[in-house]
Amino acid sequence: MVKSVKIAPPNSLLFISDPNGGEAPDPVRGAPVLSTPSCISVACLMWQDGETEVSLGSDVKVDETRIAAFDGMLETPNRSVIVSTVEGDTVLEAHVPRTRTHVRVWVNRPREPDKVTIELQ
Amino acid sequence: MAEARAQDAIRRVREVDPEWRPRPSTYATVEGLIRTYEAEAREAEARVTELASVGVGPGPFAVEWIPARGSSRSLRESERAELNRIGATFGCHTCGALTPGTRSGNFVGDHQLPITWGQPTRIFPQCVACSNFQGGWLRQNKRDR
Repeated sequence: MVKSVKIAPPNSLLFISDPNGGEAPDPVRGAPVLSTPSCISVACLMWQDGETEVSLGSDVKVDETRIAAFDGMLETPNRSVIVSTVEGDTVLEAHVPRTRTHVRVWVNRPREPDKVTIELQ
Repeated sequence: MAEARAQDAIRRVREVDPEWRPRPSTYATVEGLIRTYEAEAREAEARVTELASVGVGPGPFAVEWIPARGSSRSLRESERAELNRIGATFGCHTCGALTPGTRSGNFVGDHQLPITWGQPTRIFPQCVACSNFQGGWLRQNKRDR
């Protein structure tokens, strides 16, 4: 199952983590994707320029034009993955079977993507 | 003199971080009290500089701004045009970049205070790299709304 939402998140940032929020990565100027073992941040379309379509799930369909922005393991002690904003508002949630989850993040362009697909394996 | 400097520095911090307090200290003499004031002033000035460097409070390149319409996040076309003019003239208020780094060529309208920290009164132009950086810092220093 795949869930999708269109949002313009503050500071053009999305955070992928367990519902406990994880440990957000230290910010680095100019780095579109950052991660810790428990949280991934992804920069998207400048929020005052429009919305970004965000999809989350295990059955995502990714065409060959998409770019892999992240491929790694995420700590998910509550067996759930959320996508949230700088302010901590949850915009998407998906249940996962394990306490560590393989996550791939796909974007439609390297800078300010307006399509972000989060694949859970 | 030392007391006035400390109070002024603390007031400037609290404009952007109302919850900030200097570290508690004790003193037994007048000289000790003066040293306490001087330490508080240094601590407050360091906090203002730290916050400005991460995009909380007007940055070192802040010159002009537009008024914020309460906590509304959206920008009108006229507001966007004015922010782009200010940004192209004076740069990103945090780092001074004269180009916003966005695909659209628009500067980000940065609310100050950040909406999660209080009621914004002003909007400054900011480049996208500083906006993203500020977001990462705010996430790490999240406050209850």
